[in-house]
Amino acid sequence: MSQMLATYFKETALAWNRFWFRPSNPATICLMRILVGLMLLYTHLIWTLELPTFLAGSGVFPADFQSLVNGPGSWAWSHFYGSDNTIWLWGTHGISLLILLAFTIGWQTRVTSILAFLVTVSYANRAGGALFGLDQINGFLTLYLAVGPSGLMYSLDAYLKKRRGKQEPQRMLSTLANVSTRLMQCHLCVVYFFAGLGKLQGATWWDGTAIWGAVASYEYQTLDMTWLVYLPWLVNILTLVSVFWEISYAFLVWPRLTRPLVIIGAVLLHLGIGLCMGMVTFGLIMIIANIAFLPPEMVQQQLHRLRGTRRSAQTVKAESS
Amino acid sequence: MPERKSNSLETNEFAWSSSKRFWISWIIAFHLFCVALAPLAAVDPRPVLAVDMQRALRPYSESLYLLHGYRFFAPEPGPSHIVRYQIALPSGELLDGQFPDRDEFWPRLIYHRWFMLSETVFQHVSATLGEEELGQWQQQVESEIEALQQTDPRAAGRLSAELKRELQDHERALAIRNDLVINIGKTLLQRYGGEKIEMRLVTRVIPPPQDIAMGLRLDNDRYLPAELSYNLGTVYANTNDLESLAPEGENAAESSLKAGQGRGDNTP
Repeated sequence: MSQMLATYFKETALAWNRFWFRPSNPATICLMRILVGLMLLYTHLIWTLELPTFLAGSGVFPADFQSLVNGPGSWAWSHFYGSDNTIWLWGTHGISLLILLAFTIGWQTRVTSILAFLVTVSYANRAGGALFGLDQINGFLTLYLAVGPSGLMYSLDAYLKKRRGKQEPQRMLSTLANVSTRLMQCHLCVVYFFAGLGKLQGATWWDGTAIWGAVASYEYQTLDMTWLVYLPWLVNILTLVSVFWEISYAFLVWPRLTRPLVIIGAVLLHLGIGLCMGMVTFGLIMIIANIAFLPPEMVQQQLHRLRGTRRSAQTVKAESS
Repeated sequence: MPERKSNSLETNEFAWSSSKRFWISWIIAFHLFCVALAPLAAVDPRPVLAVDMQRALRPYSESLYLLHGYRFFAPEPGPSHIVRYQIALPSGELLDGQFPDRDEFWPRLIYHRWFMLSETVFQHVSATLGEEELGQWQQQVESEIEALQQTDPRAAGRLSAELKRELQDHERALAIRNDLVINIGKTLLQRYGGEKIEMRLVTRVIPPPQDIAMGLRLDNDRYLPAELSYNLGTVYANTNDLESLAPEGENAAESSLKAGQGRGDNTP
């Protein structure tokens, strides 16, 4: 009996170690750095249009208001609390955009990835009442990209390293890359699981009409989907599939057999939300988060193929001219 | 933190030593525990166990921006909320506006920020409703405390502490609502150079499918019922006070919002 238990614990420990600590190819997180970086750049660039309204001390969320909302002993920090000065507001905004740009192109990524996370959280904490899912997903993806070596490939760092004649980063394996990817995957499972569980409290997710409530919301609508009124069974299917998919995501995304279906489901669901409900940014960041489940070899292969195609297209063009 | 690369993989499956893996495992387990605890503790209804644990872990979770409920469109897609306002300009002209407004706020992400602001206003307004019930409950609890003081002083003490906490929470919710309305009013006055702004929270309910099948449009005014309209108050450019918030008899929304008609999570 004790022998059996010892074997069981040994095997569990080995499985845990393999899951978290087997060195892996960093291609996936490096691609995600570019995509998340672009989203962060866009998100923060757009803040520029309403910086005094949402992020200044004289705007809708002054510092004393935020501390009242957060309550005593809050750890929700922001560099914007440092000063109400206009120069500080615009100056730090400019610096933040430069940090996000550096992170996206992969320049000094070890440092800029951490700074990008600090920028993301700092803005989110400051603009508390104007946030939605996009900001939450931006936050955790940037955190894990700061944990892993997200600048090892597809980055300015890698390019400069190669020019200096150092080892090609494509041949490297990294334990931190695996830890970072696993953290993203597990966090995403928590997100979907609670998103699904929360829906079980609502009657319309049970009677299959919740999707109507989403597409018939005038404030959200970008694409007229009211024709669904003539297909109530389709509304039922979409509603039930959405809630079942969200709850089962945490279980079905791991087996190789069901993973492609689950990921395709994610792309369709989030494209639908993005296009029909005007939340393209939220839809895109959720799709980007799902990339964490793509094997790095596949990412690398596809990117090589893309590069190869472009090269051959350029060659053809050069030859024809 | 420099890490060993793959060159040791042929002889050892892992590049990290077992002690390093052991300690990092604890950090990972702790982190994932915080990630999974947050949705349990961040949204009502929440277990006391999760709330108390979250209180202890708050420095970590809040610093890393992990405290989220992830209840997208849950428990169900609800009505939307719009803040409508009228600004009196120094010239005597009146300027009508609202947020969110798809004609005014572009690109869509900016529109969405304003949309979330109006939903935040609704959340803080609905948190302060029910003054009447609170008053009744207070009277009832006070008489219970009085009766218990002779027979069970400890129970009386517990009840008294609960009453105090509830009243403090209500006071705080009122302060947050008033502050938010004043801040929004001041910001809009500054934006448009106005002297006075009157604001109202309007609820747009989800149209029943049969209405749309009959040819009604989603933006039809019948989906903005007057009984779900709530007077937020008036703000002046030269004072920091909120005037005429919820004048007597005007806020029909109070009873309807309390009854749950205006509720529903509409935040993605």
